[in-house]
Amino acid sequence: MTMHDLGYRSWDAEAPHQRFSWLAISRYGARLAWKSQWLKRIIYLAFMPFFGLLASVFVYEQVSNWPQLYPALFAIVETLEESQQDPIEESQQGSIEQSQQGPRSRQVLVEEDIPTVRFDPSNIPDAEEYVQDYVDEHRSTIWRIGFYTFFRRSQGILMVLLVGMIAPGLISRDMQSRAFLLYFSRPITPFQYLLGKATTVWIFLLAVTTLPALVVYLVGVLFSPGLGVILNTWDIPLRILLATAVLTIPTTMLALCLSSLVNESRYARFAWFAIWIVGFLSASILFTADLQASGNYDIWTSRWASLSPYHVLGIVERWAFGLMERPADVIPYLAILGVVTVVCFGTLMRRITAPIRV
Amino acid sequence: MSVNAAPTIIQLHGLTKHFGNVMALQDVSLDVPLGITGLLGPNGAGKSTLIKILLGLVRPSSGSGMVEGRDVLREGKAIRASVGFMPEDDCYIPGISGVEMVHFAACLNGYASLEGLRRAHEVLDFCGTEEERYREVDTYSTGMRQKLKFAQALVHDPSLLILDEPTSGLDPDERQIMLGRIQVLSRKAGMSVLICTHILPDVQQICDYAVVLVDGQVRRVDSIENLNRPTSPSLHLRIVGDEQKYCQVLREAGIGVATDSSGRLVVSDPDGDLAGQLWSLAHHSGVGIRSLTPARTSLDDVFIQAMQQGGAGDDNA
Repeated sequence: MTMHDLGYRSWDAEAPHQRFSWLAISRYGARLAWKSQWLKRIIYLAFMPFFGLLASVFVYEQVSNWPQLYPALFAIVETLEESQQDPIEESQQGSIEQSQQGPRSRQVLVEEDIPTVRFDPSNIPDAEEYVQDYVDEHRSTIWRIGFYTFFRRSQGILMVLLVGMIAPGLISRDMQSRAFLLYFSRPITPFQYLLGKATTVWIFLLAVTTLPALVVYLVGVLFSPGLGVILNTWDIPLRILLATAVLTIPTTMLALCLSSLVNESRYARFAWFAIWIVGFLSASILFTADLQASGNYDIWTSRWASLSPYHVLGIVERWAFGLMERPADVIPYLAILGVVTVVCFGTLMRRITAPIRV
Repeated sequence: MSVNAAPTIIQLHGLTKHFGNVMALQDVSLDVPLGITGLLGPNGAGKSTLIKILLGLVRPSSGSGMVEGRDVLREGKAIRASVGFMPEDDCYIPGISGVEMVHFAACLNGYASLEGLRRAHEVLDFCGTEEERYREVDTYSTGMRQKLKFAQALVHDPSLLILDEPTSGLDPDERQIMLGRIQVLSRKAGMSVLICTHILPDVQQICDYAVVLVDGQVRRVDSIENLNRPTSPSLHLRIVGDEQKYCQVLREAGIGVATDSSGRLVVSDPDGDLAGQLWSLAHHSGVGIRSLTPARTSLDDVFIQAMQQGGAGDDNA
């Protein structure tokens, strides 16, 4: 018996957080996940692109102060905007037509006849003002491209790693240790249990995607010439939230669904990575086959993109950031993500309630 | 079925539950009074289903039930907020320490983190878990996990405690200590306890009432005192000497005699004035009487009788 044992004492404390008690599941889940050294390394790594994006936005907003960067600015802006053009349109049109009938951003450059390579600020009387106008005009597009690249390229890949490390053990471990009754003998519903587990994953994903993106947006606004920039870019935070939902909800549901189907987390982890790698390789091989057969292909509208979760997410995120030429093209991919989310959610609820139904 | 007019904590009326063609519970009507009640039954009797219905986790096919005045059909969440449950399964959350697991249970009940931690230490003290509370639960022995499961069931100070096999896996000393704790909770803290167990001596030792559930039906419900009382007054007898000869003499004198499962002679005593006659006949038969006590029916006998009763006669209470 311990020195301080006072026997059993009644407890009349209030339980003020009953509606949010599922957050305890997330808190403990995150705490357990954070014990992994590999997860810590990946999180640290995941912040590198954030600093890159932050530096890029800072330089873009301050570039009018550095005349030596003017030529590079025009070249980079042109390249970035060209990279977001719809490839199939390009393939269908000749190079001359393209320069005349291309997308709006391209048209702007052509109409203003900006000599990207030969640009010399000394030839323009108010070069700084001219560049600032140019920066203001292209700000929204360039920022959206930057955030899209951040979500799609770096954080998209890191998301696969992060979710693959955290989610597979979240439900399978509970199944293996038969911990369900510990949860469900409390005032917790199966939906709240699932919400708690999903939030565990979302805590990490938001920490490496949404939070850095919003910080970058805020820094960009602060370093811009005036708060009027907000009027020009007010939609970007909303687009970031939309892209976050696209990136986190279907992927978390899929990973948790795999976790609920097995008692051993390693099988769920294997299945998770297999889905991404096999999907990506299959789509890439079929894209190449199409390219060899017809001489061109469009990654954004190709039917093979639906085989690869990475490509599907990329297309929907491109739409979320308003970079799609034909927004209607996203509908099949939104439908794929919707179906995956609903099917996984249904499977999860069935698997979670199975041990308490019998 | 009810024990007496005592205040009740659980009321069930015509509760039936079937899983497909399998009938898990069949027209269970039961009033469980305040105090410690043992829920007895063989494997597959429907005990686990009954517990899940009481916790509002499983919906009965028909019938109704109240736990602490709350409807099991509609107020499952509120019931679970005020009921503590210790599952039989060796369930735990891997990777966290004992105190974290109890703290986690408090947080799941909606208590603030700091308050929950203080309370977790308090109940772990009560449950006799010392420094090992800081070790990961994966490393715990079966007995330590039992104590931990008991602590997590207590952490929110429930008014009803449902314990599924609380002493299984405990050594004799720990078993006695655990039973003592349960008694303290009931007698001093005023907690009602429903114990689901196969260990009949535990029920005999601490329970006020017992419910025998067989094939999804309630076969016996009564206080332990009444269950132990034989159907007709009789005496338990142990003798020194020729037992067969003495039995013969008793039968010749018109006294009914039998041998129970522990080898004792059971002598029927319908009039209650048999003792003098037994001493006299023993003297004449040349045997000595070692002990002579009023007979009591053991819970084992009650349980076996209830099992053998089949679906015919139900209520013996």
